[in-house]
Amino acid sequence: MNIIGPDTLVFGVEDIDNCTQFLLDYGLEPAGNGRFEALDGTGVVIASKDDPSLPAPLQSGSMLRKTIYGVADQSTLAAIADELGKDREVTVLNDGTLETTDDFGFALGFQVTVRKPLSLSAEQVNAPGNSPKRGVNEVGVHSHAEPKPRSLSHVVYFVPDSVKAEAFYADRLGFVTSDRFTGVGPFMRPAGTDDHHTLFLIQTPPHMQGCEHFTFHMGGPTEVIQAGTNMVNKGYESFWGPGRHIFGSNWFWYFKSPMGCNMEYDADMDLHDDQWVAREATLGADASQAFLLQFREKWAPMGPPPKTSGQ
Amino acid sequence: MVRREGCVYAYHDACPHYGDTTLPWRQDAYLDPSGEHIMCAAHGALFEISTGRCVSGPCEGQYLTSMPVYINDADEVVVTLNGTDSQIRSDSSS
Repeated sequence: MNIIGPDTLVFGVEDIDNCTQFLLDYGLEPAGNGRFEALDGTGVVIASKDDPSLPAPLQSGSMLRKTIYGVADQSTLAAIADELGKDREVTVLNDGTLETTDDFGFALGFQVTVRKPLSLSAEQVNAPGNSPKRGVNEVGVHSHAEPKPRSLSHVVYFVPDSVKAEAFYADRLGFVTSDRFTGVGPFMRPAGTDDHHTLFLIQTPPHMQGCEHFTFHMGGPTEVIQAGTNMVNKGYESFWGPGRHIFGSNWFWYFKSPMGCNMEYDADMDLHDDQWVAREATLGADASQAFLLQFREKWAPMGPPPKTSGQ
Repeated sequence: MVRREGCVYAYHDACPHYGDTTLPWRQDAYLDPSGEHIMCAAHGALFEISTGRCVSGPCEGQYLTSMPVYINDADEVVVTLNGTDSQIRSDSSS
């Protein structure tokens, strides 16, 4: 199944105004009808929780109402409809997209991907021993930069049974497990991407089922930290980060959001192919990150000289 | 601190889910959209304003850590932090 990754996450919320402002401040562009997009056209849709066009909410009350995957072509859509149609209803909506649910009731959509090809340079780093990556007289940082999210990266679900959930995405949709936290759940990638994960499953009690976080790829670690700093300066509250994960190697910075889940910036994720052998680790602070930094207000070692005695 | 129906409640700003993360998604955004509950934005946990008990979310049944708070003779709201009274607001009626 040539599934590329999530194209769109749909949320049903009470507080549309605050969600809208949050997503604009995060850096997404408004595209009309509650849609907010990254540079490649992937994005988030904010709707009223009572909007009748949304799939039914999970019992937990999670505001995530649907994950719409982008696939390579119509034949992939047909293959998904055939496969999932064996044991559940698969609806073709007016816009030609498929709508169904996974084994735990998360609403899924499938469409020929809306992703636009991007041609942008990543963060360029100069280092002794390597030929210069950033040109002579090209400066590396601009203090007032407002980096833009490039592409919807991944979504993370709280699931009541991560073994059963992993089996659904592997056996029915062709996802592969890149790495795994023992007893917690897998990092999974579909066939149409090399990204370490577009889906991470975390086992929790059933009443927690929902979205833990989602994230967009940025152009590099500097963009993650500058975008996050801009969020802090606008009054938003950090949840975790900045730091760098071990599984996936992605830089991260998580912020709480009015969508009832965390919203992350990430950058520089590992890529894998069929040669990769999945690793396994016990979840904990050491296994979760190579390092963790903490924001503080700008400061510099300067000021008047210290007073001396007699003055 | 939350004022509701003539009472003032004060809690430590930490969600019992992990114990080490603050509650709001934006500075001072401690209530859910309806104003009925204190909310942790990380995973949508809801807490009763009057008791601090989590009624929905990852830490269901657990409690926010309450702080002693009282209104003194000068009508000032006083909360006790680390055993020391701190005047948070100068006028309890505002």
